[in-house]
Amino acid sequence: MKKFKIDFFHYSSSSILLSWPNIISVEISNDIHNFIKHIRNEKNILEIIKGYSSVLVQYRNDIADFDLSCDSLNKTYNESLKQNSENKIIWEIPVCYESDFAKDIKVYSEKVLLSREQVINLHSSNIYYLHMYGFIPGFMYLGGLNKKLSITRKKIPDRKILKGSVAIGGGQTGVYPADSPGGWYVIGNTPINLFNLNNNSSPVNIPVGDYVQFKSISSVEYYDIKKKVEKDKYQFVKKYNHD
Amino acid sequence: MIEILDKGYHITIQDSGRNGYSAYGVTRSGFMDSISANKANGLLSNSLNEAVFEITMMGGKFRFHSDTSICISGGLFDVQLNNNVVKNNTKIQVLKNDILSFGKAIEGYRIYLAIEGGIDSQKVLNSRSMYSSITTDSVIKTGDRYNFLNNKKSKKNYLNHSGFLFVKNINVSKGPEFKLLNSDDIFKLSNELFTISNNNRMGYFFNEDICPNSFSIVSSPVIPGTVQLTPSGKLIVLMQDGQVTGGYPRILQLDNLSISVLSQKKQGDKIKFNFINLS
Repeated sequence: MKKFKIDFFHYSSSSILLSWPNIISVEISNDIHNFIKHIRNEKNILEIIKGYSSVLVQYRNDIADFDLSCDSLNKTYNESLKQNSENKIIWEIPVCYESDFAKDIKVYSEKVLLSREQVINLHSSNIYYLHMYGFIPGFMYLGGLNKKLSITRKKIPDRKILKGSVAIGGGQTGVYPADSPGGWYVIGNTPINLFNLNNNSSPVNIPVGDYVQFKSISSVEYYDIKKKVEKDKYQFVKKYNHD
Repeated sequence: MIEILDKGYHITIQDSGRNGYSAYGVTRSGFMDSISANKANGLLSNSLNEAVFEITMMGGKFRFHSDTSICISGGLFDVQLNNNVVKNNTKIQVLKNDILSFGKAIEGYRIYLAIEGGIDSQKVLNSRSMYSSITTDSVIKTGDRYNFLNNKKSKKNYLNHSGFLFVKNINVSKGPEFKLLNSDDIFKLSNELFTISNNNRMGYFFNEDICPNSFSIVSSPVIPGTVQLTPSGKLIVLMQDGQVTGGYPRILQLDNLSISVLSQKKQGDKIKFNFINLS
């Protein structure tokens, strides 16, 4: 494992911000996830929040000695470097790209100068890395969008983007886990739930640090899957990434 | 049991929040003015995590369907129990059919109503704090009824301040992107008053701006009390219902006491940032 230089910042009386080199990369995100695994069961930690290239550690109590806390975190980081070689999983997200499920796909295709089929092929062939959740509960920050699919966000955001909408904005793609305002172009919809409030220990199925891939499905398949989801009988499809 | 006779302007149920779920993008929520909420719970010997009603600006009428004890704390409101004035920070006995009504805020903006033993409201992801898309309701509604809990007593200490809530000074430490600011910005932030404009549980905005800029950062962690700077030079203080990550520079961070102080401010109130050093 490559060792990164981490910068420690006294963010609030009870929290420390740890910053890696300030770039969006799978290597850095993986390094941070691996570090988080080594601290997340510490009882004196209240909250761990990950950004693309940093993580904020908030303790239950005020920090008595900042330097001492940093030393301890740094030690844990060095230890975390010794073990990190898990097989990464690719999770399949079924998406119906048909017009009824993709209100913006026509306008979007015209703007990015691609045919509808090219959009669907490019979007569903890449593997995306899950950097973190944020924005709204269960919203995935995914890395790995083909540059040809980048588009400036809408000037005036939509007031309501439907739950399950698969959308593109800027150089990012994502799925809206619930109805929400948003400025991204909707190119499809998934029938599966990405955020489940009935599971207290983990309301999401796909862990950060894993990969996702979109799979194009017909509207018939969409409703089949939706029925399974409603009966709580849907099983996530996943495979190992052998890179 | 307590019945809501009038839902007021904006009343929610809050406890100390949904901690430990930010990794899933879940907002913290919880008491805006935790100092006052803790005091209301503390004076009833409740656990400091017990759910309370958070009453904002004005209004709200409650009928008790059983005997219990209550405590109110926070902003100074015109509060009456069966037409008798009720004081903040006192344990009060209430009887079946008593009616508690909240008028306008006289000083401050939020007041907490705690009930001995706690309120039995919906619990989602280990918290009763209301938040749209997490709990079924995002505010209480007229006609709602809530049972009381009989949770065990706690002897946990709460901060027993008085008078600090309505000060103008807001304590801030430097945020990780403070270094991007120019000397004019720093002068303004250190010396000028800022007037509160739009505000809610997600964040507080101000009328006064600092310099427009073209800074942006990759999505990074934020917490309640983080002050963000938008490209147009607007400041946003993120509060309990704010997102967990953000792409605007984080120039300042409020301390816990000042998060409570700001929560008692309303549109038109003025504040002054007071720089402090951590550790």
